Amino acid sequence: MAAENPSTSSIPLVLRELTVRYGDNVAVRQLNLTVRAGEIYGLLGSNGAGKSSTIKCVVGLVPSAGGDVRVFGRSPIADPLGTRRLIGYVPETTLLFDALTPREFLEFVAGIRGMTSGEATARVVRYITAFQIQSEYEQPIATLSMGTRQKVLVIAAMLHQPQLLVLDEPFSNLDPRTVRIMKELLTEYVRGGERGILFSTHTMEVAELLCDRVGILDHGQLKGEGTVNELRRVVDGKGETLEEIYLRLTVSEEGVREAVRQLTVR
Amino acid sequence: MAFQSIHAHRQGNPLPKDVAADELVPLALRRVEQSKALISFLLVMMSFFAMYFLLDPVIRPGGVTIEDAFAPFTPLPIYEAAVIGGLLLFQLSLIWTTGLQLLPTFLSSRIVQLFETLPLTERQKDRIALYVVLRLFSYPIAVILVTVPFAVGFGLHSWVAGLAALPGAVAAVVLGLALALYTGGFFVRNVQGARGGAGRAALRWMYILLWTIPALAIYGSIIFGPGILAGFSTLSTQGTSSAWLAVSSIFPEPFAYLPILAATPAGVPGIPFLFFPILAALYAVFLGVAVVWILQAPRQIALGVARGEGPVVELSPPLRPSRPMWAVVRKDIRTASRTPAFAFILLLPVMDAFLIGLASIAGASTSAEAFGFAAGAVTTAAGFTVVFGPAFFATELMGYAYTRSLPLRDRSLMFGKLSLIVGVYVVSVFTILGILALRLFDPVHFLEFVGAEFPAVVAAGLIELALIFHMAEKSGLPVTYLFTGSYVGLAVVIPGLFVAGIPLVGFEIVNNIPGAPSDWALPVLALLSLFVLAGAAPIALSTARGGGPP
Repeated sequence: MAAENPSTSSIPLVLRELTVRYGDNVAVRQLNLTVRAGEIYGLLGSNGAGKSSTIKCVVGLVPSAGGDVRVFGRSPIADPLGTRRLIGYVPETTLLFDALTPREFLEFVAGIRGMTSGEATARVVRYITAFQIQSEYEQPIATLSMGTRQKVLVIAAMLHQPQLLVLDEPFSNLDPRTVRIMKELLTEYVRGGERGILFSTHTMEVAELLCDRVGILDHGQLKGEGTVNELRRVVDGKGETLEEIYLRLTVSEEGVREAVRQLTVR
Repeated sequence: MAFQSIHAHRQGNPLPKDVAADELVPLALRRVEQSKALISFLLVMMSFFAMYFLLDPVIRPGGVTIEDAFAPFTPLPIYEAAVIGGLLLFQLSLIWTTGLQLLPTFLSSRIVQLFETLPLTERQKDRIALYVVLRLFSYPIAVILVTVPFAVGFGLHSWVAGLAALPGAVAAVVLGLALALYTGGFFVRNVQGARGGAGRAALRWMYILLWTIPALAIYGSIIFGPGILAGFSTLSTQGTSSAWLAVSSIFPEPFAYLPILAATPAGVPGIPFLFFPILAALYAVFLGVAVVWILQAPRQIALGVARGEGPVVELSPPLRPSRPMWAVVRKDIRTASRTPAFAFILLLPVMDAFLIGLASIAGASTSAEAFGFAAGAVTTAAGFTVVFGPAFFATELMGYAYTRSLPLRDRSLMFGKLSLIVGVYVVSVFTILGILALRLFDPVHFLEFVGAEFPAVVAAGLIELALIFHMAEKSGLPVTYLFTGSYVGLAVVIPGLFVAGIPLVGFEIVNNIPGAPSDWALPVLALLSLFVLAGAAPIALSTARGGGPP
């Protein structure tokens, strides 16, 4: 497998026929997806739809069972270090090196990323102040709330200003103020037209507001992809909101009604 | 606890190829059971040794009494009580040490917080937390309660004496648990939950040194046991003195004398017959209070874990990112400063060097003897370093999936861990050097020995790390997952010990060849060490070829 593919070297992320398996269980099935330069791409899906497996495969944490992943033309398998240098990653869960403080953890990440003291300090101070976690900066991560851990992970992901941000449920656990900052920050981040962002979420409102395009995953397969307007056309204009579109595309609208009916029967 | 050990998979670590997903929980449970079985085995062995020391001299091979070898003038009841007391102290220390090791796992599982949300009474929540903790000790506690009476009864040829040893066994379990929970809570608050900063880091390391006391008690009782027994013996010959009564009243001695009184109604020289039963009853009252505290302690400790919020700090001190290899080392040392179980792995070789060094101060009278002690101490420290070296990957367990998303070369990871292994060995060497500088001693000769042995320690570390990386690559699993299996631990440690041992075996052979010049041994050690290093280095470097860590 070639380490770099020139035809995709300016495109943040290209997935071709990606398949991810855990034993007999196929989590992602022949997924095709592209995150373009300057784009925020939202991956939507219910629990177990394959969002996190896709993201872990992009970052190189889970091996693919088939297909190809390219990050600016590089393969995470053939060139893991080169690919990881281009990516900033916020994992789904917030388990870190619990015995370190945010300062010590960020120092570790900056060291691995080969950053200088000056640039690391300047960025960390800016983010810590913006996210208002100065009082937790020297506390062990084990003692921090989920929201604060999430903020630390976001800072670690953005510390080296990566070309591709890969965020797995980045808004879970965050307070409204930080969510608002994050939305502005991410929009600004891709404005230059060279970087890209892939993020997964359950929250339709966030996706609708933030994403240039969304992909809807169901049982490991892409059921629809495009802007919200494009997806609305796919469902014959029968969905007003992204949530309604999502339910129609994943054929779960009837299921939702039935579940609600069952739950409300006295 | 079992769930905790499969948690890494949720963080992105791949599943093992040869284990189906639905077998993961049983596999994790089996590993917990293995760990408990290992501790139980140690407890059984100690009871067996105690029984052997108590048995009638005629049963022993060669007809030489062990009492005579250790403390020839000790009255038999005092010797027997010292053996039983030593056994109880060992059981207590092992429960205490194990509890301290496991408490952070119990707390980080946040199982107590989960039960807080359920409609249970306060009493039910207390009991659930207690049962979760007690399950960690299930076999060890059962083993203590069965083997101590058996060993004492069999050793003293009196089943009444065996029954009389039961209160001591119960007391050791209760006190061990109480100490584990109390000191564990203290360390969770003041070490794991401590803020960052250089001054605070130094304070944390001081706390961690205190934390090693129970392990030191196990180790020290073995090294200094005969000396303590001789002291008891001397005091007992002075009749009923306040010093003798005071020493005899220290836990666990009153409980240790109960079986002696049951087996020998004549009593103990210099001590009134009812002295020990009354003291044991007083201790029992105190232990009753401890039991009441233990019933609610696990939940209170778990809920008392500090939520991190301190004063707003000045952000001006700059971050000082290190090169990747040193970033791994700094991260591990910082992790160890807040993780007593991991710090213990780092400190064990140094503690060993310290204790053997102290023992040698008392024992060596000539420079040659002191060198013999020092060489023995540094070799033992090298052995500990090699045995525990692979455990340095244990720090990665939870955050490792995240680390694998960073551009960290496998060589940086490997050499970071190797630096820790070598660093621990070097600190041990200087500990011994510092202690033995006080005695008749030629430090140049000692440093020549260390210099000759050093390449073998590096070679052993390299081989172990290369084996771990190779297994990870072959199985497709992260290195941290591999280390959680005891088989893999052995498969890595035994070759490491072999590599470290080859030069020492050569050294011993040359030393013992009749007629061989005595100054040949050290060059042979140095040559063999360099030889194993020359073999190990290319293997390690070819295993860690420069990609991302497996």
